[in-house]
Amino acid sequence: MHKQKSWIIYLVLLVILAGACGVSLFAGAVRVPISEMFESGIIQLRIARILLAIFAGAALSVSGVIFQALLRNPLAEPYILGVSSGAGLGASIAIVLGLGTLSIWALPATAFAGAMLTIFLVYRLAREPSGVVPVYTLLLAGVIVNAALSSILMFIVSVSSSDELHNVVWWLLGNLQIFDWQLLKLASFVVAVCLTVVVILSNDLNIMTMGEEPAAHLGLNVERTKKLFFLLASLMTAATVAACGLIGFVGLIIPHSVRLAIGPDHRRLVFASALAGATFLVLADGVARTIIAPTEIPIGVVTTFIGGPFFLFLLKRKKRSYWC
Amino acid sequence: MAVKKQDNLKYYMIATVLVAVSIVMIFSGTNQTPPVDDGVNNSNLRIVSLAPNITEMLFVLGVQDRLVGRTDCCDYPPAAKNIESVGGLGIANIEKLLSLKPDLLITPNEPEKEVYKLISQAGIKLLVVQAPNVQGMLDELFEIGQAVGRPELAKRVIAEMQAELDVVARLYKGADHDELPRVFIEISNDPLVTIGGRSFINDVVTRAGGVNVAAGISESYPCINPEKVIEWDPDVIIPCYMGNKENIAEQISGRIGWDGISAIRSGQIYSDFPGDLIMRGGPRLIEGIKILAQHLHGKSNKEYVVR
Amino acid sequence: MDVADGEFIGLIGPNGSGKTTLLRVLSKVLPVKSGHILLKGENIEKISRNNLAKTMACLSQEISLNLPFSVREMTLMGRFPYLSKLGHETGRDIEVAEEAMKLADISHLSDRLITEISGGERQRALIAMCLAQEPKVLLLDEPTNHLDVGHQLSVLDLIRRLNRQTNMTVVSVFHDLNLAAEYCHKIMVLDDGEVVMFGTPKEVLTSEMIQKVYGAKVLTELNPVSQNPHIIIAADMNHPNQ
Repeated sequence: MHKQKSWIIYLVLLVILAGACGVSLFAGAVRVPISEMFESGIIQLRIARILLAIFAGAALSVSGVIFQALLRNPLAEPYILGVSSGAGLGASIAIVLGLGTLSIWALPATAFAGAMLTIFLVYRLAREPSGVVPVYTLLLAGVIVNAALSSILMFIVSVSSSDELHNVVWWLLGNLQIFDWQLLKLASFVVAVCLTVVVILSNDLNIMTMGEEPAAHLGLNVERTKKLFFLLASLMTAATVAACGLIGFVGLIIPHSVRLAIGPDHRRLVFASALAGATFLVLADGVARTIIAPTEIPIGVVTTFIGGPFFLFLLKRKKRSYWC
Repeated sequence: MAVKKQDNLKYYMIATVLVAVSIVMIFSGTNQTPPVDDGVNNSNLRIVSLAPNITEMLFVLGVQDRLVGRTDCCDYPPAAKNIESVGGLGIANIEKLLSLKPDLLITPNEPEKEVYKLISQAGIKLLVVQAPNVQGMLDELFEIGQAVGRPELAKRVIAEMQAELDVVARLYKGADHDELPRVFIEISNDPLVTIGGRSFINDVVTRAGGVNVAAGISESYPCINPEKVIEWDPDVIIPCYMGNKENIAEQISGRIGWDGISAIRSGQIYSDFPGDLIMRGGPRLIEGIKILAQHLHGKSNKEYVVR
Repeated sequence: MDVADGEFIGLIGPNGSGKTTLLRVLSKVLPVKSGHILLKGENIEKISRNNLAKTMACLSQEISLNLPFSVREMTLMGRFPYLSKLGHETGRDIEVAEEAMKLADISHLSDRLITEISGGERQRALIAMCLAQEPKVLLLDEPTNHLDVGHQLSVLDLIRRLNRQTNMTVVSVFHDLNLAAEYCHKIMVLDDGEVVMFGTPKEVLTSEMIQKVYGAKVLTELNPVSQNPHIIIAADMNHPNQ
């Protein structure tokens, strides 16, 4: 369905992404001639950073798409559901225990464990005995778990005098600084694999939006699908959190805007959201590192600052339906 | 009850390590000249310190036996840990504080109005000390010396410290500003945080005969874009965070795009530097400045002492 | 209990009597606790969910339609059991969907959004989705719930037409006993999870049964046109003193 149209959409989004990368590549804290950029190593730093922004943006917005489809809730998003906080708490515990220096896998692994535990907890809290997961209960559970996780984090921060913790505080504010190709490779590998699986199975998400029972009636193995997608979304969120800390709003505004532009069909929505999310984060990071350069502001501040009003605008434009 | 504003939490967490201070302020009502007699009339003085650098100064002034309260962060010298704590830095428990019945409260921050009222009602003298630089720290030491009845000792200690600073200054005397080593101080590595021109650590670097590459930045502790460090091209990189610093030099050298930085090409990553000496605006600054100056100006310890 | 090919069966019973649960068990959403359900002689426990969806379609009440899919897109989702995992429709899938929309009489709405059409049109679109599954058996859970009388009749006429034209077996939960009487060949009465009666509307819909199962006093008479039983409600019969 709409096969040709899909390619046009992807092409347009790719061109915009390429443009954003181009702008981002030649804007930064330091103004130097291109030839010197190659010599000095600045170009490598910027490329690494742009790659991280692409993978993180794609991962966050596709996680948003998945949570929204699975939970049939337009406001579901890794940040709001507490999944990001869970991953953040996991990673913070790893930092405090000094696991981060043991292995490059320690931080992503604990972040993933935190993310999975959180989504499990939120889902269990919200699920009624009948198996139904009411929208508002789920949001409420997310808010409460989020608050609980934040207070645990604050508790750890306040009782420990370890200097690593002050790193945690800075780190949690979200930042796309990247120093290590290894971490970038790891994060991008995880995101790329997850993204490929989600794109391949995206039609299942269409069916899941109707609810678990109708999806089962159409022949979908609902439990398996649900588990797989929760796993994929948590993996992507965890990889992003481990590499860049907490970045809110991307998973909310990007899927919404893309749905508004190209409709709700997940077979296009997933990949288009990935491209749009990548573009958004590349630009947001460009702002974060140039607006008061050479000082950087946390990227979470930028995404919320751009995302908040934009989201309100969307809501106001189509009050009747949250979804579009 | 907290002696702080809620939204300042982040600031305080950073301040735990850094003790960011900017203005010297003496609370006027409490600034009566104490007896000059060294401690005779003040042997029963009960003191509470609300910052680790203040606690360190009280130890230097030899009045630790009169110190009845400290913060959780006051962990140096080790004996400080035996003193009862009134809470975290910036979040002292006012009830606990009052129950210790102190005569003198020394704090880095002006307390809130209501807390101030409680303190003055209890007849507690208040001394607010915030040093912006090394000289400010020395002045602060004198103020505290006066308040605890050890002005003469304070003067002696300050004179000694001043002498040591003068010796250090001789290490790089006559050197052109351009000849001085350019230093990049790393407070956090993820994200990258350094010290700006208004931080007292900037003064520490200057007194040690270095040039802080980030001196032009007005914030005290800016989160900095790593590509700016490439442009600054420092001669020395000093990681000042604690925790596991085992392979920090390798980590820094391996950073994307940093291989061309002078400090990295010449292996000038000073990962052994005891960063805790300069993180607090306390008396140990002098030791930190000495060690840093020795490192920057290649003088051996012996040579330095002889001078 | 046997249901023959091409029969239109109504499930009735008071609230909580297990009508929807029975549909869920029939459609393999809930497990069978005791006994067996055979579909053309084959135990449904042994049929894969995907294959079951090619034989049996089910329109449940638990469907959420928040996303602005077009009616055509919704109908095409009925092709899901026939698609490969990649989920791309072939020409045949599109043909079947167009035919399903024609049968459900919503072809003219195919480009409208499911979120923007009326309740009756939405039910017809969902029936089109079920038809796109090319089922032999259609399960319906109160298909006329929340519809006005005009839409109720248009939806049920559509179902009866499908039942007659394509010999599709229909099992539907009914809330309204008179509608059940008019459209069903046979009616099954459930009470507290048990089947109490199963037979033609005339056999089943008696005032005694309604008094026993629903605890309500009503009159029954024959519909002058169709000669099916018709329930007449008289408030004073239940609470004469009010």
